Amino acid sequence: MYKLLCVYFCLSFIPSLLADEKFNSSIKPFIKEYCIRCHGEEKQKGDRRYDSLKPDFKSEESAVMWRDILDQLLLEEMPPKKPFPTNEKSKEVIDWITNNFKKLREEKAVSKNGTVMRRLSHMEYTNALKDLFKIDLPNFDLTRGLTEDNILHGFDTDAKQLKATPHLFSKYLEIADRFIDKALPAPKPKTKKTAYPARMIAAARDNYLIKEGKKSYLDLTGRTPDASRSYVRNLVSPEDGTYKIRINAQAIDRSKNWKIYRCPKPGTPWVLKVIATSAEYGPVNKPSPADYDITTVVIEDQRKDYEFEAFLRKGYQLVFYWQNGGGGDPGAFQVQKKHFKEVDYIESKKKIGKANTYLKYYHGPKLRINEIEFDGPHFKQWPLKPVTSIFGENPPAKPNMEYVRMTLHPFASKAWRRPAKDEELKPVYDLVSSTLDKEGYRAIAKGMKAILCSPGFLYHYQNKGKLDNFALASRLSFFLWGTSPDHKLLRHALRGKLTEPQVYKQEVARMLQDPRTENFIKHFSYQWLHLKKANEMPPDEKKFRQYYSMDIDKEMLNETQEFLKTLLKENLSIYNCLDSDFAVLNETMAKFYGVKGVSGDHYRKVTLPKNSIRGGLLTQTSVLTATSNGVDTSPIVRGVWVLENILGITPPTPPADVEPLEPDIRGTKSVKERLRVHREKETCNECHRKIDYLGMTLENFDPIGKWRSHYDKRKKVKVDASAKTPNGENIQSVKQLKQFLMKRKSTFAKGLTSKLVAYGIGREMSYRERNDIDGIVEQLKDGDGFRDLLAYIVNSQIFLNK
Amino acid sequence: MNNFDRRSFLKTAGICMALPYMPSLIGQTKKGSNASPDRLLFFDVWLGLEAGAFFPKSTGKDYQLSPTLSPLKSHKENFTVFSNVEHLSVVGGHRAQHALLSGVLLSKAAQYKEGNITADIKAAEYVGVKTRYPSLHIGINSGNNRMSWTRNGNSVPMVTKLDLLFKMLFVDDSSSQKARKNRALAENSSVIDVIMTQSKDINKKLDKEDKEKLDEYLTSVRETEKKLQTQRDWIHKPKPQMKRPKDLDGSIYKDTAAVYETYYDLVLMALKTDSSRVVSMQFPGGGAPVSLDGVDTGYHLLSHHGKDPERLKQLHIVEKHHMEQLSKFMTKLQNSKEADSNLLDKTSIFMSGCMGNASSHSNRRLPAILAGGGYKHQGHMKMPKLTEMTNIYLTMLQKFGLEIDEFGPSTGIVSELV
Repeated sequence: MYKLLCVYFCLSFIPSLLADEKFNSSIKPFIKEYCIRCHGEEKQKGDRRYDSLKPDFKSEESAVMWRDILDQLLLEEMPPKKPFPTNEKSKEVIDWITNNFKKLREEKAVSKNGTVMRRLSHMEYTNALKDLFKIDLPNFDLTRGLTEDNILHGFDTDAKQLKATPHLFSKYLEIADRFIDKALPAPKPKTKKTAYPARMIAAARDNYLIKEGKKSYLDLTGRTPDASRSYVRNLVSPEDGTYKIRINAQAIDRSKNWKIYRCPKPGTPWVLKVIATSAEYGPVNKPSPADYDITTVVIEDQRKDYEFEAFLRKGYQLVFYWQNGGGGDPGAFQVQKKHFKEVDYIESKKKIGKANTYLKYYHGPKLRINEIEFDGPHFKQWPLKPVTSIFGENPPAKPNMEYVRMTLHPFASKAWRRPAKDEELKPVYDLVSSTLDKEGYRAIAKGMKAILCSPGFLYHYQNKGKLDNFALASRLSFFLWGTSPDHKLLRHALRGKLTEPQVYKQEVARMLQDPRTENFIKHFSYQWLHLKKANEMPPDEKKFRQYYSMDIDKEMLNETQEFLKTLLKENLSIYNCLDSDFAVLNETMAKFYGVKGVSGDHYRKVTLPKNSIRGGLLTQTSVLTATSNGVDTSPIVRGVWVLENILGITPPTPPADVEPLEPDIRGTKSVKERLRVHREKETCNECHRKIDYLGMTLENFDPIGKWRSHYDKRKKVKVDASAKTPNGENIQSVKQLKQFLMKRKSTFAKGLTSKLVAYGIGREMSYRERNDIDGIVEQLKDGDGFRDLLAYIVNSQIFLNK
Repeated sequence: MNNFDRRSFLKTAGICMALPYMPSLIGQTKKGSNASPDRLLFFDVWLGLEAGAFFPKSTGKDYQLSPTLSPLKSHKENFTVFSNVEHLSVVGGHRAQHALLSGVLLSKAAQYKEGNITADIKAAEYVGVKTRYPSLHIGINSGNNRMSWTRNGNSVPMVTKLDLLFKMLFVDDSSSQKARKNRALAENSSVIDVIMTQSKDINKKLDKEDKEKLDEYLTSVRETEKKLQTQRDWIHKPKPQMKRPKDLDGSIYKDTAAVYETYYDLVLMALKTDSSRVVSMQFPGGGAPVSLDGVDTGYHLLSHHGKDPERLKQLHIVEKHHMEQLSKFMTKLQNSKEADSNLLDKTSIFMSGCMGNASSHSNRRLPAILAGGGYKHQGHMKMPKLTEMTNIYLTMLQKFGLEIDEFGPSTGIVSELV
């Protein structure tokens, strides 16, 4: 025992001996001079004490402290008061600490535990299923039935936080059924061509169905979302297929100037909006999450036919409404008041019935539908793709066990992302064969369900140490594509070639250029930037009307994703996130930001004017909305956001006995003033001097990210967005904030890299592993872009090992 | 757990939540089948109730009702309002609101024996198989699914649609739906058998931490199977027939104020038919204005009143409306006769919100009301010092029949009430 202890002491002593010389001559004196006054025997501000700190980077405890010192020096946030160290002195310490971490990295074996087995996240689960069944249907999102994962911190790929629950498992059973149903061979539905007169249409409140003898027509008058949707009764698509549709319609009184609520101006084109929906989430005449767009048709004054094609999913039906319609029922009422003052519209409606009142009194604008014809369903191929992808072009009428084995073995191998073994599949075959004669394909369905609900499909499992070919293929694919490895990756893995550097490099390059990286961008950015919060506390409907009328709630998320997509696609520098001379906009977002010369719905790179306040992530509406609560802005919340997501530092939570600041909008004190008072308390100041300034400089942006010079409409309370950084620098505006951040590029790069790695490998880094992150960032050269960073990450030891 | 016999495990296992009841177990309640059972209701007013207008100025049984509480005048003897209660260890603004019914933050769940289990789930576990739904979880038109939590730290999803709630409680499946469900149940059992066999092989290859994850998965599979077994007994058992309230899926959703009453009516029907004895319901704070006279500003914006008198005025109208609805509901309960008393005396209603001050997002000094339930109501109980709110839950759970002497961070019961 004594001997063992001796060996242990010697071993642990050697590196510290080597480090000692420099430590004693310059590092220790530096710490003594600049740190001990607040972090020594007498005071331990922020719970930190450095007077007995040893030059030991192996123990977690002291490594944490050295990491802390390094961070503070890099950020120039410490010491907060004079005397300040000279730049050379600071640099010496920074280099010494960095080198020590580097040495450790070179010596150290890969962390022993690695990532534990983990469940697929909801996004991964759905994508993997869609790929497996080759299902590409509009608005086919089955994660809606799943309760959201309760992720406290970090990403929804975190193995420790992802839990299996009975509720979830019963949903897995249901969802598997829904996919399998799409893959079972079925008789081809008959194609029919039927013209429906208007009387077959279910009219919404704002729409009037008029029957005159044999003739009938439907007049659309309004566009209130839940009172204007009409549809043909009982017409539900029996299978995923395309319909040829003809609508006979006309615009009546389009050129008249009605001057009533929401009525389009005379001469404006009238637009008939056509969508598809199903009754799955509620009545079809109300807006529903099932909705997806089909087309829009401009209706002309003369009665005529309009033809278009519509893809209707099984169980879906066609719904239409007048997109820029007038006021509908309330509008109609206004018309009566305006033009026929004597008539009490509502009263007469009660007396003589809706349609009759309408005929007698309504003289407003109307979009008239005379007839709708459906011709379908038509299919590009039969059997449909999900069927052929699993059962081939000609599924036998009576499948036997040999056929079952031939089908389920490749199915399981694809689902499990590795070759399925015969002994694993034996219980599946037994299950199928017990009822195959009686149930045919339904019996095979049971086997498929067992394959899809087994851990092989639902879980990521990585072998210990260096990942084998299949584990690597999965990790890579779920990281960069958010889905299972494709055929090519699996083929390399099967041949044992993926772990060969040359093949690996080629595959990574191929994957980074593939459009499936969109899943990664979307999912990663959503969580990294906390964009979920943007719609958690929706902005007030009256105060921020534009936010809703322009669909900013959706577009702002698109903008951020398109921005990051551009960085990836064009391999642009990640520092564009801090500040960029371009933005990626479509017409709506450009209009919202006041950027001229952008038209059309698609996103494209737009060079920003020199003095623009936009550019980078920080000033995007998505971020600014996510960091507000829909009503007010809070410099503290925004400050914490910048600190966490841009500078990669998580500030400690406030002490439990501290009450939050109470807003007072009666106008006595400004936010700035109240924050200053708040910081006068020593306990608050310790953290808030590092937080508040970051948020304060964003005060010129209101809760939906619009620029404001004053807090109130009457322009009485001016916004003062100037602030002082912890090291005394004055920042006057958001422009200067961006410059300030640009000086802290490496801090940002480390923060982003550690988030990317955590997302990619499914766990949080330990303190010592942050070393590996440094190693990745050090490879970044000038001119390297986002794609290069991702390539460095997937080639790092931390990524290649469990 | 590796070599257990699954079927026998099922026979001996305790009852998990959300299990529908098995007919064979009816009548095994402690009091015997004739006594009418106790019920527990938990209402979460998500944005809280503004302290200035909520808390009464005077205390004791003869206290003066506060403006917000004034609609409860006719029920003054039937409820207690508390001051100085809160969840002492809960902090974090909106992030902490999920702890309303547990007193325990999810992030601190590991420090407690039963994690962050909420009072409603604790009660539902006790009810077990005696009702069709051990507990109902409702969000008024929307819900964040973070009000109720199991002992494993999983949140329980909410029903957020009136027509769906009605369907769950009172509409029988069609015979083809029943047949399909039956088939799915049979299929699922055999599928689960296969999965369990396969998992045994996988288990052998894993190291400790991975094994724990696989165990978690297998537990979820087993619990699902238990659920499937009991569902089988329910499929053919008819649901109680109730008249469908008007326009459950129509224009009612637009009248955000009136919709509360319809939800309350469905809860009442669920209690009357003993479809469930435990209900939790969340009153969310949306961005839209509540459709009440004198209110034209969004509910959420109003809660950020920033001491602005106009906003406070409107906020108080909305909050008073909450109490009007509660009062109406209590009257309806009172008018529903039970075998040995009336439904109000058999129903403990707890209403609170995890915001002591929504304007500053403070979780301190929460508004809390306990109504009905046959307690010795105390008028306005101002606690001499800050008191754990879970003490009220413990009192309620004991009344409900649970033989426990602590619940989460509780320090004791509120003895004056019993």
